[in-house]
Amino acid sequence: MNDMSWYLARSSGIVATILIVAALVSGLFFSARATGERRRPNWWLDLHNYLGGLAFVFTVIHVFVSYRDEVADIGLLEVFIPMTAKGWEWGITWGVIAMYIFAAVVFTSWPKKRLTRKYWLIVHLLSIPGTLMATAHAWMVGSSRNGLWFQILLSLLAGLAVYPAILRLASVMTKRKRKQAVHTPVVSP
Amino acid sequence: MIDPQNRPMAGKRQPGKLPTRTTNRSGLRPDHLGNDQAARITRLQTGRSGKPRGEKGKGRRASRRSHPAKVARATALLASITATGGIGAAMAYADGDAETEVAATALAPVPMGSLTSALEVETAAIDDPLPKRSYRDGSWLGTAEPTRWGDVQVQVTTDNGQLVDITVIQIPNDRRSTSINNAAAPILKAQAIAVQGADLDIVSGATYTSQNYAASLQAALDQAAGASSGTADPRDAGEVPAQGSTSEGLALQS
Repeated sequence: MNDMSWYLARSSGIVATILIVAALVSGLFFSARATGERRRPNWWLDLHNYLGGLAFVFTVIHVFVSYRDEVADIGLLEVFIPMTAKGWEWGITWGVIAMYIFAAVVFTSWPKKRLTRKYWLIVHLLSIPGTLMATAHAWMVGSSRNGLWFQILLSLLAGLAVYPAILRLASVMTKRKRKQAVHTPVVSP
Repeated sequence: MIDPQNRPMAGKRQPGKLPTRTTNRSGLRPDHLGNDQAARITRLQTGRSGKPRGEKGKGRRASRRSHPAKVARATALLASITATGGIGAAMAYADGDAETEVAATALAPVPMGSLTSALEVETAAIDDPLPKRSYRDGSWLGTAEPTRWGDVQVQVTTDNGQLVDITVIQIPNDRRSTSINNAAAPILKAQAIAVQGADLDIVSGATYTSQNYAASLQAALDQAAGASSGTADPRDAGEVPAQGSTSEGLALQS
């Protein structure tokens, strides 16, 4: 049973990380309006919402199973309060903060948006550092961190997230330029 | 064409009477619209079901939203569950495979010649249960033995020709490994000091640590015995000045 919970904790953590990155990537593509014409935007939005929720569910499973694993010896305090895991302060802390961020992102969007658009967007954008923290957590305390396959997987996930992030950034900058062009009065000589 | 004269007096309220909405949002009466527009308005008002909005079935059915990405959702859920199970099983299988290899090596048939020499060693050990091996005094660093969770490396201290202390320099330090190694390392240390060598029994549940601990210990003791030519990498292993060096790394509490 111990071994099973250990393997489940590890695998659910890995799947949660993949889902987090998938939700982030789909969200970035959607907001950059770069989803193509094959699927309608609402399809992408629906998928993004679902992946976000699923990622949070797997995060909860990962945390719960890690807590239940007797050998891992993780207490409630360490699960909920950063910097309380002795010898593991930063590694576990990144995971704890990421968990709080994802909870905030999910529960301010579901079942309905609870904040004004400005604040909702700020909370939602926190998912980008949240993803980085989750990856750092995996890199620092994951039992598979010495495995080549694990390092390749994390590098791939990071690489996958970079492209839509740049795309989104470019779309924001283009939008701003357009706004500036509209508001700048044309001075005739 | 719509006659602008027929536009209703929208927003005018008669005293004591609530206004009755007879127009659509554009302020036009449906009977003044073309067939297409009227049909569209009716469709918008009733929805696909043909019933007026707000009069759909009550309870769960009414609150159910349509999800355009139904198939993708189901695929994501199935893939996630399968991946969780699959990755966990693959990890368990890989670990089990390694354990089997260890067991197979331990149970592998031994050539008769080496069996004889092994028996001779055993007999010698029975004659002299605590072998008095003589090591050069000092601190000796063993090789860093890699495991999939991290390296295992020990440093030994010898005094008066005897192995007196072992300090762990590197050991896998993920959460679970720490828990396992905290239990196993003191046992391995006690065993090594008792036998004055690296012929250690594998501690149950800490197979990798035991094996690599013994290998690193053997490398350190080889140097202490003056047979340092057998060590693998001069960067990993070597003599360490006795003063102050043992404070580095993770000291074992036995």
